[in-house]
Amino acid sequence: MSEVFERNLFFLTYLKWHYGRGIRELFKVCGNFLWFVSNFFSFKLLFKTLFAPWKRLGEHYGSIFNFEEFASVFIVNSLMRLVGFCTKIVVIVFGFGVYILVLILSFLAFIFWLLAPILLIICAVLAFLFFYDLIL
Amino acid sequence: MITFKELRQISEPHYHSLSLDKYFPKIFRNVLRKLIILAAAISFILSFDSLPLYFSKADGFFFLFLFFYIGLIMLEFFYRSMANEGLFVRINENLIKNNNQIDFALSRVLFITDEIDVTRAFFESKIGSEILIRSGILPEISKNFIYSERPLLMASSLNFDGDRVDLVTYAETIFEADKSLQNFLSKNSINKKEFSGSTKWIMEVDENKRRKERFWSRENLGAVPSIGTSWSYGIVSDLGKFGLSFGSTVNINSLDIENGFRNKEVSALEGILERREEANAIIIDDDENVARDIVGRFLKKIKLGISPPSLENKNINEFDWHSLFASFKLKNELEGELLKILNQSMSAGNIILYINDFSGMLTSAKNSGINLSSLFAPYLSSRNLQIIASVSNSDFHYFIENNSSLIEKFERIIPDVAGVDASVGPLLEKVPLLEKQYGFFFSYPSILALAGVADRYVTYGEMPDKAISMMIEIAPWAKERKISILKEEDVNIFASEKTGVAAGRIKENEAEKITHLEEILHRRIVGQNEAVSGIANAVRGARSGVNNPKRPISSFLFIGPTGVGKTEVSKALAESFFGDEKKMIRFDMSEYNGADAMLRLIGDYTSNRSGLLASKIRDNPYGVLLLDEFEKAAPDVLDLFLQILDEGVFTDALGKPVDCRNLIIIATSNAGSTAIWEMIQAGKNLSEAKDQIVNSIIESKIFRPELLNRFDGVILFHPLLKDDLKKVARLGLEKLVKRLKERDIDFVINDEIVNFLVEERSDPQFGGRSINRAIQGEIEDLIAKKIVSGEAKPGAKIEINRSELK
Repeated sequence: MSEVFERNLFFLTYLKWHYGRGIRELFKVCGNFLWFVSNFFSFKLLFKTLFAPWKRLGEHYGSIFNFEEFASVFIVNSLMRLVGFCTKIVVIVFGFGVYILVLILSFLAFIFWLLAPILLIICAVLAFLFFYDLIL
Repeated sequence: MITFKELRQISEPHYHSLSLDKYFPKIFRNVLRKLIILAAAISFILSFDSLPLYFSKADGFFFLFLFFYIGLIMLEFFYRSMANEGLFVRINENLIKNNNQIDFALSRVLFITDEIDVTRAFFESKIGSEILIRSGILPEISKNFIYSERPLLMASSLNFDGDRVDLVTYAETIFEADKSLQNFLSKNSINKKEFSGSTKWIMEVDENKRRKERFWSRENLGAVPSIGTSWSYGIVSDLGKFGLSFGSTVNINSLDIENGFRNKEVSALEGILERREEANAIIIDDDENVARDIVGRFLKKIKLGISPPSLENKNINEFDWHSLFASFKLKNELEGELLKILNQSMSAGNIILYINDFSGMLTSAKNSGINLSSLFAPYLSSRNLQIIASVSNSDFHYFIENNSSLIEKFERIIPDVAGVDASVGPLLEKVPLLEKQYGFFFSYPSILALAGVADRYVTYGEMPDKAISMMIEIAPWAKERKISILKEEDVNIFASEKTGVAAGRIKENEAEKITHLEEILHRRIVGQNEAVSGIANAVRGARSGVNNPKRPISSFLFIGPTGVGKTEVSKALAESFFGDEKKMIRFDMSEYNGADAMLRLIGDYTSNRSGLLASKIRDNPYGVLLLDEFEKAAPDVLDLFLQILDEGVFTDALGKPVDCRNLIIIATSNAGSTAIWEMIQAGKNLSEAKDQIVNSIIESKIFRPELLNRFDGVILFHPLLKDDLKKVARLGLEKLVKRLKERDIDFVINDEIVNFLVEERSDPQFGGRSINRAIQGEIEDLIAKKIVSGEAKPGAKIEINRSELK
């Protein structure tokens, strides 16, 4: 059985896979990596809690009639929110950068995939030309 | 129904990868790829003519290497894509054609299988030989079989049931079709269950390995912890002092959540914790490890990112209330600290508190004057804090069930009792670690045996925990004995060494002992042929494994007058079965005929104390339980034994089960001895009159028929006849001879004393006992006098004449 099978044209099978299922799977793998980046930088959670205080730190407002106390609590809480916002936004921006990078890499991988058989031929031709000094 | 030919066609996608592996092995491909990319990099550097090592053909080499490299990586992509078809994945990513029809492990076998000898190809494959090793068969032995003359199994004759064939179905089908394989395996004491179990095990290990290799899969990417999740939740500094991250107390790495163990409980827990409020669970089990195991599996699912969305990012913290209560003695301080911890945990927003021994915490709080249930109430209702508590069965009923304000905030989880089969999964989880640590293999049958033996012979603890502890104990033991593959027999030997009870298949010297049990018993017992052979038959039945493992080893009711050897038989059984006549728990049941009998035997719920019967059996789980004067016990006590004889287990007053399955239970009774006496006097054969005697016992309402039926045997002891009494007298005197020999005095037994004892001192009512009493009294007295008077000196020979005896 295996012998019969091996007599099948391997290259034909391969080419069919390369431009069919291979491309589909490439897309899905890129999708997995993008999913991973958004997961790793917890975009959803960070957006949802963007204006929440840093690690939920803060103080409770006492009497609203005591202006001095109210003001100090307000300042502390605002500061905490600011700290939270800043760190989160830094991570989001950085994560977004990574996301874009993965997107670009995915695109490049896709181009590479499409051209891979041609690239192979180009490499072979270039190697040949260089060996025989046909290119200066 | 699938034919072999169709199966091969189904597996075809894998053949691309397999033929690649055959001509261009994976390891070779991997090394070559690395070498080529290195060579390409070097030639790229060398191609710059400004550099000192410039080499004119470097450009050409660079492109040549690049050519090969691109070719190789594309080949690898192709290989992976084809090989992973049909692979089961935890998180579906639409990447794999999820028809799940084909199994790579099976395809590997099919790839090398020819038409003529399916069995040989199966075991020549790497996976097939691994299956044999895991079944406990050494490679040399399996080679002898594979290459022996045997009827060949043709591929065309194979048909597979069902619409999906995996390695296990394939192996089972071969097993069914190939009689010579069956013989070979059964010669090595491996049955179908063990064979397909080892196959399943190997298949799963292989599948897990291939899943781990797919680093690009969602299940592997999703398991990477994300950053920034903790920033949105609060800090729990005070819980940090009195709490531990649950992941650090339970090793969740080794847990395998795919094996289905505790799936039901984990999903129940998830369901409870997902609720919007009062999302608290209480796990009720006597073994706290069961609760830990369930919570550990739940935590693993969170970490793998496959828990329900609302439970993502949750942290399970174990609340160490013991040290909290130890650190703060004053009520106010303690209350303050408790509130602080609960407030922090609640405001943190992602905390699940795990509290072990919840009832203990309630009691400690009560002792410090704190009403914990009212203090906890608002937190238990809160949607921001979830609590998982664990508690033992009896504590739950005693402390929590009647506290309605508390109990309505918790949903109960009562874990299933893990049986032998369910315990195999968790045992297999521990294998890789132990094998790595001790350097030997566990065979699959040995794992099954561990589960079976632990369930049967370890009376403390619960499954699978007691099986796991036995497994951990057996590892150094096996290493010491230089065992390379742990087999079923090894487990049985280990269990026998540990418990003193012969476990598993009967060994030769033991078989000898059992076949000659009558002789062994007769060495100590005079006459009573029917009784001895009845007991021996029952014991043989028990040890041959035909008996029900869910009942005591054997149980007998001995009926007969006193002094005819009933106790002696029990001692002889203890000795021949458990190796020591002292392995006997004895109860005089006439003491248990009052209203308090049950309280004394199984304990008292109100005073939280276990009973005498329960604690004695717990201390000596292997031995003979002798119940003298059984008929005098109170009716409810008899009912208790009805259950013990039937189920081999009873529950003490505290709700803890007491295992009686490793006991030989012997109840003795004088009931019916008058009837026996009359039969003998009438010259009837006792075995013929047995039914009549048993009926008379039932009619006189001494024992209920259902109780009598529960015993493996009702054994009648007849009164001793003159010849028997002579033997008893001789046996008693021989014991005395032995004792005197130690003092270097040679006491000679003559017929005169024997006749004197039988004729003058025996009493038909007391049987052998009166003779033994006479030996202890008169004969020993006489000898003592002779020693004192100097008549019997060390080295002397003494004899007693009839005239000396009055």
